[in-house]
Amino acid sequence: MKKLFCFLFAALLLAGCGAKPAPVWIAASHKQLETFKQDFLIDREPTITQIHFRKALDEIKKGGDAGLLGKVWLTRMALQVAVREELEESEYLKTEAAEAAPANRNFYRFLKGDVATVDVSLLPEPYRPFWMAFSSGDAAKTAVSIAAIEDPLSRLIAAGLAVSHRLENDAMLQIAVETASLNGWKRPLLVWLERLQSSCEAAGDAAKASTIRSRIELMK
Amino acid sequence: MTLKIEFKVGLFITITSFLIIASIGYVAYKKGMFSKVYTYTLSSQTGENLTEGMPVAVWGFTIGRVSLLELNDQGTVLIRIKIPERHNRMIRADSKFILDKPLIGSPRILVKTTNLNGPPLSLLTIQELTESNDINEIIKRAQPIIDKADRIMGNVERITANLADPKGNVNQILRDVETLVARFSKRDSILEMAVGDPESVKSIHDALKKLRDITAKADGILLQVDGMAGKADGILQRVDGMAGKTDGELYGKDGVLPQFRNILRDLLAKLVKIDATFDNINKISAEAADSTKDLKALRSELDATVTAIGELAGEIDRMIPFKTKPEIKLP
Repeated sequence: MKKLFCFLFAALLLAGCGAKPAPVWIAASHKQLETFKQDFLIDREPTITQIHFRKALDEIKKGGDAGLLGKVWLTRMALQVAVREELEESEYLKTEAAEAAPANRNFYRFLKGDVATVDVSLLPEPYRPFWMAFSSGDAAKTAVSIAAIEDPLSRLIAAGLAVSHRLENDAMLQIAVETASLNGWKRPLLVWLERLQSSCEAAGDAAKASTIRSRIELMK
Repeated sequence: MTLKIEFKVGLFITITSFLIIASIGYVAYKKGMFSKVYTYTLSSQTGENLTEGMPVAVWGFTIGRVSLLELNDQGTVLIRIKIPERHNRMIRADSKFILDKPLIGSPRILVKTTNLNGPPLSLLTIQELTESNDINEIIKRAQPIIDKADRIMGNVERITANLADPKGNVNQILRDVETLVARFSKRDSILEMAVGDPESVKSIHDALKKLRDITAKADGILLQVDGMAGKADGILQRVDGMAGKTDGELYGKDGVLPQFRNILRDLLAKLVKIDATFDNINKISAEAADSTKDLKALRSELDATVTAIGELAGEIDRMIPFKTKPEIKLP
């Protein structure tokens, strides 16, 4: 009877552990990076946000994978695009200089909005339709393609990229505001609301601009 | 090999259910729920202190229970006890069944078997249940102690009677003490009692008186010497006064040196205060430094704890089998 128990217990354990777990450092860096992204977007205190980013870098450095290290730097740059901040690219460029990964370099060019050099096939799948619309220079098509992106962060990144290159309309700004609002991302929400307010003021819609200003004041 | 999550969950539930059922069955089996039970019948003249469920024990171990109590036509109480097969070897043909009523605790039936290799007790035999009563045993044992206590009390009574009797030994001793004290009081002093001769005592008293007179005279001489010293002091004070007048300007009340001394005294007092303040500052800074060290240590410990918890959480997170494998991707 005891032998039968042991056998069944072992079988249960085997059934539960079918997949091999990821290495510790990858799991840890992934977790830290996800926390950094979330903290960055919800506008948590910068010191805490930076701690998670630094820890993610430290974990990646344990593995010594330059490709992954580049991805971490590019993630921060992408977040800066999403909240329309100036890109801090020097660290990524150092990584690329040490060991260039084609996909990373392509994504860097994408973030810079370099239409001529980006290889669509190397871009992450969600951005491909957007990039085609963006390359055409049509704001309406770009807005539609942004709305079609499933991942909310990717949607904000695409919107940030489009607006930075003067492909902007109200629909696009509205999509960005709704995306940030639905996910509770205060930092991009404030940025995009301010952008929408400026757009309304430029269009002469003072009432709407005032409403948006009130909303911004409430949030601060 | 990567299995689908639905299959894994199904397999997990099936195996878990099977394990639960198997565990219950195993426990029931170990508890003897499936083993054979033997029922024996005992008889007793009274059903007092007998209850259904009462344990049947051998050498302190419970081997069975009373399952039923009933009264037959002859007015005898029949007691049915159930013994599981694994304990049945304790019940032999020569087994004696005793109702044990301890002073503390509930009664139970004790089985005493002298020969465990003897033939088994027939299920049809009705054995008689005898009684063992701890309370009566204790009373029997306590009887000699009570007798001893009784004798002690008799002795105490005799002593107190002796105390109360005016012609008793104790009262005689007290009377002797009284006489002795009276004799002491008739003498002038203990010295007389020691020496035994009143004349000698008188001589000693006279000698002491003379010694007292000599001491008084010596005191007078010393007082006179004191007076002379006082006069010498007065002369010296006058000399001092003259010197004071001469140096008045330097050492006088408003002279330079007293003022200078006052200034120095003030300065000294202030320095003492500053010194105390510096001491306090030193103490505070030392305490602050200590506190900082403590804070650093606390911070390190907290860091270590948080890191350990984080690592543990990460480890658990990493080992959850049905979770998607973490992968760092471009956003």
